[in-house]
Amino acid sequence: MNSENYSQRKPTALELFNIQLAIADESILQSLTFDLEEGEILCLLGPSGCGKTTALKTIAGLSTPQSGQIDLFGSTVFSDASINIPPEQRSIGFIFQDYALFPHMTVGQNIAYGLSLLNKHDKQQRIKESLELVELPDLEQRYPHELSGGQQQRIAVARALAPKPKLLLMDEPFSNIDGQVKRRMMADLRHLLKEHGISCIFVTHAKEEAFAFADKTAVMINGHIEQLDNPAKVFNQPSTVAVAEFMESGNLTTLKHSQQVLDKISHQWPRDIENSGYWLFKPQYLTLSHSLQSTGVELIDSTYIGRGYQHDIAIRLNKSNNAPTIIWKAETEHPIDITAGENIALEYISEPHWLQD
Amino acid sequence: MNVKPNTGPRITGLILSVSSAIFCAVMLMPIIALLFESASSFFITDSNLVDNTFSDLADTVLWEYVKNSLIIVLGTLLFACLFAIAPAWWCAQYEFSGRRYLQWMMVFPLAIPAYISAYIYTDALDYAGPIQSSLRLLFGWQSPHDYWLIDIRSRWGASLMLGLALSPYIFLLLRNSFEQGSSSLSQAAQLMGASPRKIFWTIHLPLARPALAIGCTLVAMESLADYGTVQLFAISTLTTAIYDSWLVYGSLTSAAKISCLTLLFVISLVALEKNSRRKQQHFDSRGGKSNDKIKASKAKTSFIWLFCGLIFCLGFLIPLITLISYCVDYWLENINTDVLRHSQSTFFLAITAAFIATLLAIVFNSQQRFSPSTKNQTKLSLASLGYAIPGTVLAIGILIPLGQLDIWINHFIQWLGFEKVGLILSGTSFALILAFVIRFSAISNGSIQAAYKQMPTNLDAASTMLKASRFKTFYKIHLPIMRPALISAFLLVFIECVKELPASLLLRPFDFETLATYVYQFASDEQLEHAASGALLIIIVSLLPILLLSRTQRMR
Repeated sequence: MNSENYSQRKPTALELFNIQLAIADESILQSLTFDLEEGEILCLLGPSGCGKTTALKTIAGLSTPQSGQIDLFGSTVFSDASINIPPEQRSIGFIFQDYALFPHMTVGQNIAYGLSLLNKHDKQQRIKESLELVELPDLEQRYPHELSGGQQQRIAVARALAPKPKLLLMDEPFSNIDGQVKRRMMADLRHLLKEHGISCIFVTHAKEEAFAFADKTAVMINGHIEQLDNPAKVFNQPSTVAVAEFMESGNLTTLKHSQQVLDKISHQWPRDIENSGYWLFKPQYLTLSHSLQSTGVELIDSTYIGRGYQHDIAIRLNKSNNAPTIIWKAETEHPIDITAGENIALEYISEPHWLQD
Repeated sequence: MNVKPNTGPRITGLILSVSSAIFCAVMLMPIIALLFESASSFFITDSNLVDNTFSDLADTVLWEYVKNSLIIVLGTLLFACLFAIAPAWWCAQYEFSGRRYLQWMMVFPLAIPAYISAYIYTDALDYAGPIQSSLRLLFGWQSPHDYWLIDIRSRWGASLMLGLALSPYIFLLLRNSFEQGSSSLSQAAQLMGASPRKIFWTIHLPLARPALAIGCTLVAMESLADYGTVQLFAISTLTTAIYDSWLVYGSLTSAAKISCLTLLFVISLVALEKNSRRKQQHFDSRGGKSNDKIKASKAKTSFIWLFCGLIFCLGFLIPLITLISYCVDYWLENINTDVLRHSQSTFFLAITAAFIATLLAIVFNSQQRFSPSTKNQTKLSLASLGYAIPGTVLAIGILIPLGQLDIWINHFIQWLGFEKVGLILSGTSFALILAFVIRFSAISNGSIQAAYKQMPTNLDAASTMLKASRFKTFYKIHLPIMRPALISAFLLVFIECVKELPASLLLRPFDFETLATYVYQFASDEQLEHAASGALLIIIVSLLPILLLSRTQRMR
């Protein structure tokens, strides 16, 4: 980061430096390092078991790492063995995957739970404000089991925000809500966070949620961050193979295979890369046309996927009939006039993305 | 800024650790005492001091006793399975009129202590009893040589009585297991052409095997521990041998040795059960929970009601009606201040023990919740150990160390120049309360543990994130959520204490009776008629958990 850039940056809300956490000899977090600007929404995205929930709990203070440092708004809340501020003193709001609403308390009592320092009048005022914030002003006397899933989630948001935390952490907050409702809730919540300038980290395994909700996305694999960037860049220009595979960015081809593959594709680009690595071909930049000659590329099947059509194609790696094949995906806006089993001429209309190994 | 977490609770933690260490020592004390007492005799060289009671027993009748115990355990298992498996299957799988009532009626026999049924059936099947009298009248028989009737005062009779009283354990566990087995499994089997009979034998029964094993272990342990029934039928078993060694021959060493032998059987049973439980996780299917019951035909419904009704009558209704009729016939003997006095003292003891056992369960389980560790888990397992120890064995295991402590205390007090205080530990209600707490902590522990297991740990984390201390989390979140579990833990321990017989018989202070020992004394003097009100009181108290259980299940 150069100095010019630095001066334009907003103040930092959170900094993690080299966090290591192992449970019973199994490493869960490996030199986890990233930071978050004030008012920014960051998504920790990764497959299940990659340590993203543990990372969230570590920031909250619910899990204690073996080493590393965590700074929250300029003050250190964890540093190796010497500093470890307990979670209740970190001023962090946390929304759990199952919301963890206290089942024996009303909505109002749930929200009041974290407000024990306020007097009765202020407490009541804050409950009212919080419920208005999530647009459920009439539910104060209800019990959690009387609410729908979406309402429960919003009450969880209200409860977490009522003590006015500096940072909000959310563990798969949308995983229990379905389709249509989910999209609206994400938009509403994002609007709310942006309006109040609340910094937020949320965890998910669904890349669509990252695209719709986050300013930045950190892809976590095996306990460390592989790539941190804006969602579009992470998707289109993955920095590692693991990220490309997880994001399903496109067709990956090893350098070893690429010579044979490139021969099939009537397009020119520099082929003199010597290092080991991968080419990434995006499905939407592949064009397919019917070929009368044997090209070694065959259509397997075409399916409709809403925004267009997806085609599975088999590419034979050499001339012989029982040569190994690789399967690629291509996408077109309109249906193609090719039936399964027919030969295809492939063309790639863009530059493939090069991935260092 | 150099704040380390948990500096505050460290002192509380220390107190907890020390108190739980003491608790563990107390829990283990009876077993250690038994082993020590048994082993100590090997080191006595003076032949005048050698206590030969055990070797005399071993040379003569001990193996007969072991055989009796084993036959009764096996017989009880046989009868209990016979009475429980089919009804559990019917109640879980079929819909028929009155099923809701029947499934609770099958649990009622649990409320009748086996020795009370034993007494009542002996009385009824007696030469002068109603059954033989009416048979003679009906067929014109003159003497017992003219006909044959099952001799209830036998090992099989005892097994039958115990089987009736204990079958609800197997029934409850199996019914639950059958109901939880996903119906999609049996539907899949059905679609592949399996008959209902085949589905039962190949799908449901194998899936329920762990539950069956646990139920059988419970029944086996209870029948091994039985003292009342076998003593009433004059069958010598390991438990009666322990009792006689101490109270008749006055040999604590011999009682300890037979106790160790009994424990060996218990350990094998527990090992078997543990093994089956390990497999349960493997079998535990989380698939489609919906359980669609099949509508039973009229004929089937009648058969189910006939079979189950018979068990209900034999195990509950007949003993209950007989006791009520005793009460009516001998109302003068039954309404007296003795019953009141003994129930008062019993309830006081039971409430004290239930309170302590519940409190201990809360302390140790919340400790494990807040700072989970294998060390704490071991303590919790230790707390459940007592339930496996038969009452008679436990009583001997408590008498040995408490008696020794009493001797030391008296020596010490004399040395100080005061008068002897007597047996302030082994000769007072203290011993009895200690026995109850050790034996029944497993129940309160299980109840609280289950409540904690059902409570998502995220609630704790949410509370912490909202700036609550551990105490606030415990007080505001844990306690209110587990209130039903607390109440049931307290009640269950209370009821077990009221019903407990063998340890109470051995440990009760001089001139002190619990309701159970009071009733039992009359039964063994063949005068239960005069204490029927006491027996009815025990039954009413025992019915409480069944009603409680049925209510909570209905609420779900």
